[in-house]
Amino acid sequence: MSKRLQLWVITYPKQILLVVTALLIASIASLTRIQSDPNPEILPLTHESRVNLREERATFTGSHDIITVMLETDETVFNQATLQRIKALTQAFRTIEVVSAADEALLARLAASSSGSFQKAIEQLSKNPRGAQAADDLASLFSELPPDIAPQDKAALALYADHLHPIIRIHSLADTENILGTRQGLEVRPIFEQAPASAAEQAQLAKEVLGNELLRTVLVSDDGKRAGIYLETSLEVEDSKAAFAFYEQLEHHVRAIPGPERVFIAGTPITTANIAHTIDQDMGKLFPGVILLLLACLWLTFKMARGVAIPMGVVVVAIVVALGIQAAFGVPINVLSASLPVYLICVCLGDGIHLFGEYRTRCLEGLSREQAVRSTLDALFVPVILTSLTTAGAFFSLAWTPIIQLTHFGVIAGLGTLISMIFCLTAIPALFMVLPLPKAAAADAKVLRFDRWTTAALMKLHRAVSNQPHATAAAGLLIGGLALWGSMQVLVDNNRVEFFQPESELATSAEAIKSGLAGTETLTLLVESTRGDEPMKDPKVLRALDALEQHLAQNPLVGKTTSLASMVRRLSLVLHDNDPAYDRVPADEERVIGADGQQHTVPGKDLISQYVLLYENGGGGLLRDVLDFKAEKAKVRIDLRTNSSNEVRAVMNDVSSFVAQHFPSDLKTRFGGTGYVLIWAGNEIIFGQISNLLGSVTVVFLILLVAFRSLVKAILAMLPVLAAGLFNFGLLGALGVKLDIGTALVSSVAIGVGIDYAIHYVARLGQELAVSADPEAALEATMLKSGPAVVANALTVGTGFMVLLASDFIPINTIGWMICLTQATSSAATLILLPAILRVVRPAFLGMGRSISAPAALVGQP
Amino acid sequence: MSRRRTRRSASSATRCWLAAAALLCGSRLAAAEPLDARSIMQQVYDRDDGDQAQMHLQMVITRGGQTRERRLQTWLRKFKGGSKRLVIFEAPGDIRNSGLLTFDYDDVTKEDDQWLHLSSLHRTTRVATATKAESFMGSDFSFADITKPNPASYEFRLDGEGELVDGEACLVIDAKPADERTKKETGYVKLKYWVSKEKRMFIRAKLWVDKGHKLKFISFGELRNVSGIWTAHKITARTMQGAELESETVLSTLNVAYGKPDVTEALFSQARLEQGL
Repeated sequence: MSKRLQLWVITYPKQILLVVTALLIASIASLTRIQSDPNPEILPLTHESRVNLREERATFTGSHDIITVMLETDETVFNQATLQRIKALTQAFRTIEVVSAADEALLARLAASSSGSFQKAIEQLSKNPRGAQAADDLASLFSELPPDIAPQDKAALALYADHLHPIIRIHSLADTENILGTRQGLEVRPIFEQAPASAAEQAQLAKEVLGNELLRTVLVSDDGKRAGIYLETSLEVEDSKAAFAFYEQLEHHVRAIPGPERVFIAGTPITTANIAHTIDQDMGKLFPGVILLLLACLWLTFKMARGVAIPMGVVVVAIVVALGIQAAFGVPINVLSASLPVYLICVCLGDGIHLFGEYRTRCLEGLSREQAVRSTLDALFVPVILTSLTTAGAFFSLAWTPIIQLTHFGVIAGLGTLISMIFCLTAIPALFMVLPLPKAAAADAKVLRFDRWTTAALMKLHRAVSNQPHATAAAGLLIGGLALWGSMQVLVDNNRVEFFQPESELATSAEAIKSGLAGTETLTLLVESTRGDEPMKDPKVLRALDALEQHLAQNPLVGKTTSLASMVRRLSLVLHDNDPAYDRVPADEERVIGADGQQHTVPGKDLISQYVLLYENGGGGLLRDVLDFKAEKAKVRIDLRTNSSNEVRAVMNDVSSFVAQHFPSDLKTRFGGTGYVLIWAGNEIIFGQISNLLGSVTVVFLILLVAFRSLVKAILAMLPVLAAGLFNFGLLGALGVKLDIGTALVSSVAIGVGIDYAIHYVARLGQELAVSADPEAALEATMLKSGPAVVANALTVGTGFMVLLASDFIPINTIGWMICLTQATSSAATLILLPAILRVVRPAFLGMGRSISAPAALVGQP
Repeated sequence: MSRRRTRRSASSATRCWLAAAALLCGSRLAAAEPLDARSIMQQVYDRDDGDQAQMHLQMVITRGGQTRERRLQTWLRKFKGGSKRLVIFEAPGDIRNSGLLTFDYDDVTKEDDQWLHLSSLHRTTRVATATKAESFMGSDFSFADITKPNPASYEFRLDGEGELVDGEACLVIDAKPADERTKKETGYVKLKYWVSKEKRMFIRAKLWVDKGHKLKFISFGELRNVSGIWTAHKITARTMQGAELESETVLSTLNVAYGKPDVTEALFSQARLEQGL
């Protein structure tokens, strides 16, 4: 195979380069059509947690994502200026719209292709797609939708509608009605119309708001120093660009309506929008930096323009071709695959470096161009194929997941690796054939300083390891043990706020809202029963919900709970002249004293029904937040003072055990809310990835087993990667870095990289053993020939990725240092641990049995 | 400018005068005079739709494929300066005999009075609310929908004439709240009415809801002449959110009687509200 390839490359180098160039041009043409999918939500729409969330949104109002804007004062928010600012901000936020150029293009296209009254309406809208008039026109347009409108056009119009009025509901002191019990009766009115000027009125307002259990902690903090403005938005998590535009407008309004209050903005849509935006921005800024640094390292290694251009050029062409194929199949770039070029360079550059290093050495040894190419391919054909197949195998096994973004990532990365392999074995030797020979004299003078340095260092290393193989192996074992301990400390968590630096605006805002108000994450318990008529109005059900609310009030992670129970309690209280004895849900039977002074016994359920009727009959806009239309489903909303999936899970477990013990058995419950999505998007995916990681290891091992046809060699080649992986996890645990989607992904890349070094080493060792009967000499030769390329590869990629440390976005930062670390650990494991273990274990293929007691020289060489 | 207007008394003399005026209007219409939107809406407002009415109504609310039925008895009487309405629930059982008493004043600056009786609590509470935009008994109708729009509070524009809706030739009138107060009180930013040319009553309405940018359609069907008064026996309100139907309420008149002598002023009292059915 290798021989046929050698002949082919030597005979047709120009044709090969022509084909590669043609592929490159075709790929660039295809790339112009590539689409971007900015959806940062990794769970598919069909996932249980997202199905629950959708159903919840269809059944209950107030279930969409909420953005919290918190104003903080030093004294109290109940002063005229602050209340006026809250009112002004509330009004300004109402005008926010995020209509995009894509929306305008949609309207123009529909206007051109439709007919009749629909066309008239859409032309009108197309002329003026923003503002209040557009909102009215759009509402009308929907009533005139032609029955045969394409579903995607209908969906696009719905998206435009969301962009035109992204806010479903605002909940703030300036936009909420308070239900008050007064001497005259029940008063349902806005909390305030005009901000009160006098201290007495302000104090009265504070008393009214803080005295309402439904409003306290939500609209105003318990100490009265902070106020919340809650914006329920129709923007879907997929629509992160619109969400970011929304965030920018929020900030704009906050600046435009100044005041002494400190303002904090947070919430799931803000976090996800910022994640997508930051990845986009940071990758755009840092990726060129990575390339530049890699080029500089290549230059330092080879001191030759082509030493830089060839390995890098071929990898870049391979990436462009892979992305071109992706575009041709209509697969969009997503938040994960946006970082794919970085990963591909990381895993594919090595082959190019090895090939160029080998070829240069052969040339410097005085071989002719043709001979040098032949012997380079002889030495590296098998390792290049093996390193690429194993890496591709590791990537492809990532694709086995319900997460479509990860599937795309795995497939394209695997494909890119294989394309890079083909180019390395064809285009690189073809380039060697076409370009002039490296000038020996120039190379001698400039290049060899680095070589001399690495050779000397590697020799020292080699001697140290060969003198103290047991000590080295024991040290390795000790580090391994420590790493194992560290690995057990690794905390699996998903906290998107922690993606940002603790001092960043986003993280400080989330922190402030967590401690000041009820938090920004929500878990919901959906309660359901079909027994009887309107089962949720049964006092038993309400008492269970009430008990749960009381129980959760003790949980420090819970900021606030709301359910039908708390709403009924509120009405019971105000309808009984604020008598604290009635701050409760009705019993199964209640004794009431009528206007006639007589005592009546009434069913508690009737009482609840009538409270609900009172809510329905105006004023109680929040009723649909907690009770469905037929009173068969109820929702308990749990606002959480955390963004960590682990802590959300802890609250979920708390709720589950309470439900199991205290809820009537005919009630069915399940969880919903964004918090539930967070748990799944966090832990379950990460555990999925860990099992994928094990899958990768298995695939890689099987490939090696087939290739080496030796269990021992396969195990030995796996050893460095396992050691490096273990060390990485150990360090994560020791440093308290959480294992999240990003770190888990980098770990899989670590396998792809780590295995390459070991394969090069083991393959080279096999070749050396074939020409030398002395295992020590073979080990030394392997170290001296394979070592420099491993070191150059590790240094180059490691240094290149240090650029990512400049990012403020923690996942990118983590990718940077973890790849650096992986380079260090896997190369060290290959060059130190593997030789030591070889000496300790003495596998049969090494033939070390002949030189157990004495160095090879003493036994006598032929 | 004061938007206050003096409302006609319910005397029969006035009614005769109105009938004559309507005849005159009819002849003027025949002469194809340009129509004035405001006077059309004034005619709708002034139309005799029963000074003393008693109705038995059924309300079927549909939302997300689920339906809920409520039956209620209602009494209505106009008085100088406004109207009074008594609503008592008949079914379902858990809210039977609960009800609502409302005094609706023509003076737009005066807040309406409302008392709510919760039968299980054996208690009547006065409910003060600043808005009529909220739902009437959980239906798609708001309190604003169940009272005729006072022309003094709107600006009108004639948008077409002769459009056929359910076989009824209609005048199409665009309306906008004349001031922020009306907009806030009704919750509508824009309204469109289809007024029967012949009967001077609403046949259809399209209402732009401020909150949540929804659209509401109300259609007045099954028109029957009851004691000389054209009465819609099936009023449907549909709330649309985008292209989706959010909910629908069908208000059916099971029976109606006008001019009943026992619908007296005294009927509209808290005591009667508490008495139930």
